[in-house]
Amino acid sequence: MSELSPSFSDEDVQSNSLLSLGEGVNPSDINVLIVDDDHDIADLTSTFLTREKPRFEVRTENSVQDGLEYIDDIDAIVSDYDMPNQDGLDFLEIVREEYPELPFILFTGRGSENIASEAISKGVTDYLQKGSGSSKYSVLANRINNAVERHRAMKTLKHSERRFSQLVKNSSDVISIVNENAQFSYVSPSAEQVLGYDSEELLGESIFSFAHPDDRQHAMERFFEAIEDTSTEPVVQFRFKDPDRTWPVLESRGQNLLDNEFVNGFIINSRDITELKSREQKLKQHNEQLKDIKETLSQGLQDPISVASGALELYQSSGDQSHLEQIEGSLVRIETLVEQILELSKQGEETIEVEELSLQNAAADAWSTISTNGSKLNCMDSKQFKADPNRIQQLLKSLFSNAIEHNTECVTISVETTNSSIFIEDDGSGVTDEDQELIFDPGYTTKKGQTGFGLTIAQQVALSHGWEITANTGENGGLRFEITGITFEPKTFE
Amino acid sequence: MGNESPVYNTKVTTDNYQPAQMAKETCLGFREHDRGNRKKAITHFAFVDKLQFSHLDETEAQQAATAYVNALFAKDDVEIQHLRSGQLDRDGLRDADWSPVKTQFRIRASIVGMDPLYAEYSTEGWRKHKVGDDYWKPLLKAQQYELRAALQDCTYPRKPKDGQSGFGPESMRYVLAVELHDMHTDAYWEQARDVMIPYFERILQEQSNE
Repeated sequence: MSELSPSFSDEDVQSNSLLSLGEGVNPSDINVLIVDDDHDIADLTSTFLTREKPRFEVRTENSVQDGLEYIDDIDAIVSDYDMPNQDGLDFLEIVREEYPELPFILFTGRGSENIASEAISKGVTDYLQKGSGSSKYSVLANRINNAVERHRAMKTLKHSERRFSQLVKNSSDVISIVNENAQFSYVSPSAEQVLGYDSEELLGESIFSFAHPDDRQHAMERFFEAIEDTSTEPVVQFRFKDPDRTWPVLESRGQNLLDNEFVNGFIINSRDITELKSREQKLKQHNEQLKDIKETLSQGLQDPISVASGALELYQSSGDQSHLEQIEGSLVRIETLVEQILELSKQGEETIEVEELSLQNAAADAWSTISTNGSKLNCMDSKQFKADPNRIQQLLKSLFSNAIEHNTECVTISVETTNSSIFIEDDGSGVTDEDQELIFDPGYTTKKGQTGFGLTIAQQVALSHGWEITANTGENGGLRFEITGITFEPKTFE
Repeated sequence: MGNESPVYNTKVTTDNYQPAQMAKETCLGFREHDRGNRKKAITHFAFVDKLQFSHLDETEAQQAATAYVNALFAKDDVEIQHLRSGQLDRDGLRDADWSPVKTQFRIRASIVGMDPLYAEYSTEGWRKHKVGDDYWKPLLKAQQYELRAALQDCTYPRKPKDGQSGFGPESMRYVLAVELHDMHTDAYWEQARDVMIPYFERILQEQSNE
């Protein structure tokens, strides 16, 4: 074994990767391993190479076996062909098993077409014949230099690609490239998690075939406008048809890079904003509700306050005790109003806690909390359903109270169900079509002394469960409420 | 013609009733566009698109027709911007921004699954139709793409012998109907309808062979 080149120590021999070079290693250095059974030629080659390229750090070994000990730490191998025990092609074959792309130059004095051909088939980087004169070493030095530069550039590129791939794979956004007809040509792997489709499934499909029909036109217009005008970078929100048909809302940002030679497409970056939209919607509803409360609170309190203050004045001037009753009545009304407004404001704020309920039990519980004044409840149907028990009691209480308080005679209230709805119907005098339109509006009432918030609360309870409530005229002319969108549990108790 | 939709003396037999109806609806679509009735125009073109693009569902066909009518009205907007004393400023129109028209054609192409060149040629054809250049060739090319989508055959017109040039007899029929429509008389409208009947016959025949 020959000696190490003076500047080539074990400590200096670091990874052959430019990207993993340790501290103190000059990335411009090129570590070359020369394997030649002829000591003199190995040393001569080393001397010429370092003279040609000062950046070369050269190590020489005289057998394949010895050379193999160092292949982990070098940037290029220069090997003789004809060596005892294992020749240069054997060496190449072993190296290629672990380092398929490490620059390997066969530098031989006994070249032939057959050897060259076999070397190429085994993946040699370059093949050079030894010869007399120093010019061969110049050529060899250049070939080593170029091969290492290429190899390093390729490694950098691959590393960059891997890093990009990891970024894209782990992104919560879906990055896609579509052609000018909006068909996917690339979809990042995150599509599976975000959209529910494997990337491969989407290739060739038009992105708009997944858009909700009601959102498609707008999304297409923004996209194709950007195809025409490359300066436009559209941002579009649309519902996306996922395999479960839950229609998540996507926000997609597009950039026209059809003329970009590397992309050659329209990049679309999409993220799921379903939760954000839901929060926006809730906030909007809440704000509207607060606005309604503010308006009706100021109007609703005006009457009882003015009655109370008038009665107080009269009492103070006359001492007549009957005015105190008026004051008491006004205070009760104010108290009821405040309670109902607090109840209403809770609907939009607190999280509902659902549990399985029996309709018959829920109706009986609500009935027990109100003054029925001789009216009757008829609830034979006791399907099971999931709801917040406190809120459902509030809803039923509001509907029952409304029926009792708005009819002069006693009424019978029937509670019935269909496959997905509940009917609450009384046999009273009913309300006009006009009142049916306004009946859920905050503060709206047809009876003096009522707050007009009971049915608004009932509606908010229904909405907080994802149900809808409507009012219309029943078969017997009374008022009939229908709550739709309910999922009943299969079991029915009689 | 009065304000009512035109009624044609249909030369319809039990064999060609549906293609004749499609040809008639196409004419009615253009007529309603001429009258500025966007919704009615969409209804007529949607009738045709539902039948000629059997690979689309009803919503998609409706949206394809809507894009076509939107393109017609976008063209009108471009023209209005280049009216000078009641006359079209043809030079200005030639250099005008036709991208809103092309955008709608792109939408139609995307929904129907046509080559995007359909949008290029359709826009070029309509522009040339207005500015006085040869509009036939681009419209023939565009119609060839539309036919290929309707027939679901990207090799249309598949001519059997050496005479390979041209865009297919059905494409020629459609563009001839456009030329006939320019005459704006009932008689020519009838001819426009009649000339298109074999166009739709070919499409429906192909669909029934599938």
